[in-house]
Amino acid sequence: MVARRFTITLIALFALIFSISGYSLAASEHTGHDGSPAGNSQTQEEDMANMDTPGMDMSQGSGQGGHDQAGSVSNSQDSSGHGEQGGGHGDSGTGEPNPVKNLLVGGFAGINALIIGIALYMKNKLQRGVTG
Amino acid sequence: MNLLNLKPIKNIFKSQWFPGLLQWPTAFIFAVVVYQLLYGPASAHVNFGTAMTWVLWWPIIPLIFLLLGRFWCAICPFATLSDFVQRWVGLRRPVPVFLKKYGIWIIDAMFILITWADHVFGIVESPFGSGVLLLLIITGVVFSGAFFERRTWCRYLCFLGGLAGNYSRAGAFELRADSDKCSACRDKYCYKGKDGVPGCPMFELPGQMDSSAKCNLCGNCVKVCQNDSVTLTARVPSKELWFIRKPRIEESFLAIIIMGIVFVQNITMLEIWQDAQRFIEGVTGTTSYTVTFTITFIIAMTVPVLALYLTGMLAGLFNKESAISNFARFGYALIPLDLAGHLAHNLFHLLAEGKSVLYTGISLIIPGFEGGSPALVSNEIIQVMQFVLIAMGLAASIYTAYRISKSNFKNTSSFLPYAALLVILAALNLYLFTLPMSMRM
Repeated sequence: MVARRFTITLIALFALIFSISGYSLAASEHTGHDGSPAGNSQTQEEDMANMDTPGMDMSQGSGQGGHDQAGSVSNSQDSSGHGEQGGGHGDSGTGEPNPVKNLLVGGFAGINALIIGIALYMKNKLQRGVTG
Repeated sequence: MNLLNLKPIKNIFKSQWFPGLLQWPTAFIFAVVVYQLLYGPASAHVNFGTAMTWVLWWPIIPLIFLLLGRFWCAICPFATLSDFVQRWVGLRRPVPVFLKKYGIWIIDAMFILITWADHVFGIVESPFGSGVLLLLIITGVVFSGAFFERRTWCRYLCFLGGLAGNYSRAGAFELRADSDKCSACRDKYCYKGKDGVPGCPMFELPGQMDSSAKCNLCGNCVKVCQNDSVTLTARVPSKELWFIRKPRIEESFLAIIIMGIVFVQNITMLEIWQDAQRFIEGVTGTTSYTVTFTITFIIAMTVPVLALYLTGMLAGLFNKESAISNFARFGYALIPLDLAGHLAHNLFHLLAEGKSVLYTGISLIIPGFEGGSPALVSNEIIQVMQFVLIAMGLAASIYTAYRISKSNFKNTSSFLPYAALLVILAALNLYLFTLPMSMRM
């Protein structure tokens, strides 16, 4: 019985994380830890070759050794993805509200409201049961 | 020395404003961070929420655990939210038995899953992704606060709490109580609460506590104890790990998978990651990042676990214990090296990108503000600090393994295989820190 509950909880957790991550993916179009599309070795190399792009300023400017070189690997993808960034902290475009984002945030708010509503209902019901 | 004998410290712990005075500003900053993550700039590079979460908070949190134990948990905004919901609508039901029994395994699973999801879906690089992760946790916290008693979430479900528990065992302070006084006490206000001060939110009885893994130093027990039984003392960091009376395999498992997770975090931020990806793509015949990363992730999680298991088998030749028993007992010796590796990895982000917190913060007030280099110190200094941290972590871990062996077995030779494993893990960490690493922002 306990093992079954445990398994169900784990499966529910996995399902929740996968669905949320899926939403996140759709909303933010992020694939991969480095923000690059999957298996884009060629893009990486192209980016490496274009390391003087403006988006690189942040790591170039730090004037440091080993880490910066690889910092460019990651940030170069930023520079290709967000070319208008200047000097590392330029205008990259604010996250304007979009329907998916609002739906997701609203969905979470709704779920939390539902949880609180159910808890309130049960609490009132229990109190009535005790006093009545 | 009992630090609660010092009047200023005792006054702080006894004060009705402690830790509330720190809780509410933290909650306010958290609200700003969540808003920024969800509705701020879409690029992590310029997002204040991302900078606060992944460049400031995440790197310093292991340091807080080392210096102050789980004090962060006392002022954590999620805990504040849980308390708030509980006061408002809380049914305060008992914690389900399965949570008590499997809580740490659930935490282990959550930790693995979140790390995997972070890499596959780019949670850290995506402010909105990070925001969704926080919303997800908020929902769990609200549920827990609405239905269950005390801080069920913090004790049994919070994945950071699992990490905090392990790291706090290596912490520099411990709160305990005089067991003689406590066994004679019939009131148990420390657990039940008194005069509006709640009992221990973490379900602990200070008189029976022999670990700092769950105590968040909230001071409730200090406030209500009428016998002045509670003590707060400084200790040698990692000392608690030398005398674990009831080792639990799930806690040792968490210790070893954290090692694997730190390796994953390091490897995927290195240039060689591109080569590794290409190699895996060649072997599997797919260019799917999800597939290549998942394979790497499984290897990075499995190899350290197997290595610890095999070391347990080797140690068994000396101490005649089963491999599983040694796995559970000696897994705690990994914690100082875990902590050092975690700190060293994040030190790079904190010190090489630290100013981005300031720049993105200023850009909230002055839109379009552009800062300069985000680095606080040079990379050479960071590398030296990383090496020193790993060396300290290794020394503490080897000594912990030795003490565990000494306090449990007549023949201390069983610590030798663990010393060898720890040296290998530390050497791997050191090697990875010599390679160029990419930034978070």
